[in-house]
Amino acid sequence: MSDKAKTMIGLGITGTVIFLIVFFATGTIIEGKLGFFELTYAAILLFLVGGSTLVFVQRNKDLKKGVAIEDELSKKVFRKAGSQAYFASVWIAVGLLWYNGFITDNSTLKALSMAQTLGLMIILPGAIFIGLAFIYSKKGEVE
Amino acid sequence: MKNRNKILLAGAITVLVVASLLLFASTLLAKGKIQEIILPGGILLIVVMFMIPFIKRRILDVKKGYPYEDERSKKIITLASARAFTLSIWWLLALMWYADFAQESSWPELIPRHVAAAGIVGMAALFALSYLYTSWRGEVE
Repeated sequence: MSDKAKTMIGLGITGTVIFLIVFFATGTIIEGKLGFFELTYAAILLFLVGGSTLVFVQRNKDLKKGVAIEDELSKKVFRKAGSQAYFASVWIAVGLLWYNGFITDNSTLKALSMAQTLGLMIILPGAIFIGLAFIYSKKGEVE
Repeated sequence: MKNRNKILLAGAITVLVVASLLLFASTLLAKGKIQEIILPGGILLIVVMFMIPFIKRRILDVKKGYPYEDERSKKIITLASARAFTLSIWWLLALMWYADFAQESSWPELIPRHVAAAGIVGMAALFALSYLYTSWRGEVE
């Protein structure tokens, strides 16, 4: 697949997700139901818009310069960061299951709501992925 | 880390996860929440089904003098889990959409502990599929 096609597919998928989230968010705002769910959507939306804009601008610059949009190092960095973020996300989910299912049943702590649980399950691994990708890119070597 | 220690660590983590799920399921059973046992029970089955043959094979490999994990299988796991990470985010977004949708329709609603359990089951299934796909394709570079 050519670099241009990859960029366009990435842009298309991100655009579709953003469109769907905006579609649901405007519906709930019109209906006057702006709750934690909608705010979580808004946080994910901001995250997606910010991240995809940065990636798109960078890739567009690279395409114009004729540089390969995904070099070997960035491939390795994203793979390693993605792999570690995946295992972290499983442990985060296990921790949340324990917290909501066992700790709150046997203590005075308050259980997390649905939106809080899902929000944490998406945002925390996302943040870990970005952090690790940043650290590995700075280090410049991934094995 | 020595091969023997790696096997012991993998075994200890499996025992910890299985013990946690058993404790969780027995707490639910004691409270009469029989329907809620299905999800932790499902995870328990997946863990047992995948981890016992995995640890058994590793023990046999180490006994035969093979390395605990060769370069190629390391690369397959890294690529498979990186792919599973991307798919997991989509899975969680789908769960988020379903949770919202179910509140407004007559579809069965999810509670937070169901969401966490469904998240784990989905992530494990996506990793298994991704692992099979990556091993089948064989391209890890």
